[in-house]
Order: sequence, then structure tokens, then C-alpha cells
Amino acid sequence: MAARRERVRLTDRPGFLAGAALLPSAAYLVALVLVPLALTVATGSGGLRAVAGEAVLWRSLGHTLALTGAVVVLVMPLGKVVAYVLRARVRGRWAVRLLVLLPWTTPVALSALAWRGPLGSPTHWLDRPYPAMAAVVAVHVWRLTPLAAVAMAAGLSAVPRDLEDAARLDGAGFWRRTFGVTVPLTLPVDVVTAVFVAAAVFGDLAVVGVLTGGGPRGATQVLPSLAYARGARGGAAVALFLLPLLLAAVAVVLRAVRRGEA
Amino acid sequence: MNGVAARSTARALRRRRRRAAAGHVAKRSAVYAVAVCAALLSAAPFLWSLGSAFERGIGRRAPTLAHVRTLLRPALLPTFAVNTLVVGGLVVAVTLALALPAAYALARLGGPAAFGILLLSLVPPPLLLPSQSRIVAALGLADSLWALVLVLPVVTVPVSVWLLAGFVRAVPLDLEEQAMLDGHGRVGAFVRVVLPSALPGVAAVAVLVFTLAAGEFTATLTLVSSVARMPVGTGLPYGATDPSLLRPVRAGTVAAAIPIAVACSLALGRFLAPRSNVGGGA
Repeated sequence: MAARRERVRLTDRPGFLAGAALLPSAAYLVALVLVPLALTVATGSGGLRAVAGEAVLWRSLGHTLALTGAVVVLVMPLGKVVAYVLRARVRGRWAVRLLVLLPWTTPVALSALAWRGPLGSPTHWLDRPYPAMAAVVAVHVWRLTPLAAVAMAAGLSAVPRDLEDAARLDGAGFWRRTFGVTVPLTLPVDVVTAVFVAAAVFGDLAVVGVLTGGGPRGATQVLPSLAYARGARGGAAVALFLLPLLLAAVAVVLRAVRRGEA
Repeated sequence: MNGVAARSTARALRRRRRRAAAGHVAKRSAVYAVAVCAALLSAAPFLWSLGSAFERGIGRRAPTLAHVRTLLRPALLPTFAVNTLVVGGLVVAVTLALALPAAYALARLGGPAAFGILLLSLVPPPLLLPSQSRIVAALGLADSLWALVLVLPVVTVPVSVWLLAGFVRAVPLDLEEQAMLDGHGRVGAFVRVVLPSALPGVAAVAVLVFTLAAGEFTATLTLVSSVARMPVGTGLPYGATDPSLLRPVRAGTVAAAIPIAVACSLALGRFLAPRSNVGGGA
């Protein structure tokens, strides 16, 4: 056996090593996430009062909230169903998985571009306000269901088999087992999934930008697209209205994780 | 039990077994039906684009490759593809360089929960981009691929750290300790033992990071304005807006989207597959 060294090397001290290993990522994330966030808040607060007087801002906020709510409400049950499909033992499982994941694994702008074809010229949905909004909801749901399904499938995998088997042996039917045993156990994962889906919608610029461009006549304008249209300074003020949504999302996730650990 | 009771019990049992078997078949058919529907719905817009990409024009039946040939003109798909590959490759390198040590630290040395870092991916890009573009401009990187290499890891590093921490945790502690007893020190143990064992997972994360970088739209749109430097995600919607390019762009959409999706699915398959040890990963 090699002789033990008498002095512990600097890189062997756990505290130093942990710090050194975390430093690059931490420094990068501080410089490119926290600093810009603070800068945006600072620049945006200046223009806040002016922007708050504009009707288009409140309309966009309304669209953002409605869009986010509609998408989450649709994605969660659909995602649950697809989660079961992803876990099911079917023949050609890899092909099903590849196809089912396609909406999320393709670049968002390209999917939206692909959807502009069938939703645009043949059906003219994108030319009228309500159908255009429905189209935006549909593309988001189409795109985010696989993401939700993957996350919820992972949550389902974490449920211990013996609990479900015990419930089945006790005579509990499918629905009773699902709502009595599985749902309470997967709730933290499901809540976190819903929050990430919501964040993907209220922060998204691509679907609205490529599919409708905020039109027709501002009917599908959301906060991100409005912020982009306003440029650097005006955009910061508009984007600030997303801050409460972000804080709410973080709070819900932290609460769900803490509950899950209990 | 006498004969009559035995026969009726047997009949009842056969009936129950038949009903159970029928129920089982019904369940399997339902699962297949849903799977097929889901698969078709998922592929729908790409199937439509694919059909449209080979159309000759209204009323003509025979398919044509003319649109594909237009797409392959140097200023279009090849330029976008090269930009995508260059940016993607550099972002993978930067992300792994940042995320691997951090993942090791969080997995082994008991830092704060790796999950916390994921919270950063909740931040909506519109809150960051105005200031990030100012930083980029101040550094003199405006409208360059380097701007993307600098900013895109914001999206990829948190996810990578979380996933890599899971893979590092799956490497048994005794392997590492054995290496350290042999006199290598923690860093040596990391390079000699942990990295090789976690390599498949690292490879999967690398592929995932590439697809995330290739798919990123908002940052790319904000930071890069000249068409010649656009990657595939912004080049196709915004770099080819001439109406005559409609069908070539449709062909390009499928050509770019499918390989990226396949690569991403393969990488995800690694994460979805059950891990060999119990309790590994987040």
C-alpha cells in the first residue's frame, strides 16, 4: 500500500474543493442571471409608471394569464395520460416514445413554423382573434404535454410498488387506488411540473412570435412579445410585470418540495 | 364439496377468468389506441410540412425536389446548420466545463440541494435578455455567435448540474475512496474513477445540452440580427422570409427538427431508463 502523506493537500480539504468546484458555475450564474435580473429591475422601474398607464400592457397581461391558465389546465390531465402511455409495455416502445416526445424535442420556433402551415392558409384561424388565441393555446399544449408526461412518468416511477400492490390486494379498484394512493404520492412532482409548464408559457416568446406575431391586431399579444417589441428599455419595464409571476412560481415550487420531503 | 357445488364454482371461476381476460385485452387495446393517437398528433405538423415540401404547385400531382434544392443553397440551410453546429458544440464545452465540477461538489461534498439550482430555469427570458444584450454589447460581442456562446449556458447549466449530480451520485463511494487510498487525492479520483463511470450519463447530458442550445429561440433572436449568423432556429422563420422560399423553408423545418428531436430522444432515453442502483439521482 502506498505511504500515507502527512500533510493533507489543499485540494483534498472538502471545504476548499467544494468551493473551488462550485465557483465557476456560481460566478457564471451570478454574472449572467442575477446581475441581469437586478439590472432589468433597475432599468425597468424607471419606466414602470409610464407603461402602467397603457391599455395594451394590461391587455397583454390578461392574455398572458389566460394563456398560462388554459395551457396548464389542459396539459396536466393530458400529460398524465401520456405518462401512462410512456410507461406502458407496448411493442415498438422506442418508436412511440420518439414520436410522443417530438413536440418538445424539436426546436420551438421550428414547431411553431410547422404549425403555421395547417393553421394559417387552409383554415384561416390565425386571421381571427379568438381562433388565433385558441391556436396559440393548442400549440403550447401540443408542445408541453410531452414535457409534463416525462416529469410525471418519473414521479409515477418513484411510487413504491408494494403500496399499490397492497391496495390492490385489499380490494381497491383502479380509481380508488389512483386517487387514494398514487395521487397523494405524486402530488409534489405534479405540482412542480405544473409550475414549470406555466413558466414555459408565461416566459415564451417563440410560439406567439412565430405563429401569430401578436396578431391579429394585438389579439394574441403577451407580455414577452410586447417586451421584445419595445426594445431594451421599454421592454424591461414591460417584463417587470412578469416578476410577480416568477416569484409566485418559485414560492409554489419551494412549498411543494418542502411538503414532499415531509 | 359435492359435485353440483363443485361444477358451479368451476363455472363461476371460468366466467371470472374470461371476463378478466376480456378486460385485459380491452385495456391493452386502449393503451395502443392512445399511443397511436398521441404519436400521430405529435407528428402532425411535420407530416403536413413534409407533404407540402415536395409539392409542385396547385393542381400538379407529381412531387418535386426543387424546393429541397433551393433549401440547400449555401445562404440558406447550410449556413444555418453550420452556425447551429458551431454554437452548439461550444455551448456543450462551456456547459460541461462549468457543470461537471459543480455537480461533483453538490453530489459528494454535500452542498445545498442540487434541485435549488433548477429554480433558475424558471426565470422568464424577457426579464434577463434586455440586460444580457447590454452586457453583450458592452463586451463588444453584439451580433456575433460568441454572444450566444456566452449567454446560452444560462439555460443549459442549471439542468446539466442537476442531471450530472444524479449520475455522479450513482458512482459508488467505495470506488472513489479506493482511488484516494491509492494516493490519488480527490481530484485524481474524480478524473480516474468518477468520470469514466459516469461517462454514459455525461454523454447523454452533452447531447441534451446541444439540443437545448439548438432549440433556443428568444436569446438567439435578441442577440443575433444578421441572417448570415443565425442558427437554424431563427434562420428558418426570420432569415428566409421571401414568399418564394415558403416551401423550401418547410422542408428545412423538417430537416432540422427531426435529427435534433431524435438526438434529444436518445439522450432522454438514458434518463428515463431505470437506474441500476436504488435511490440514485434526484
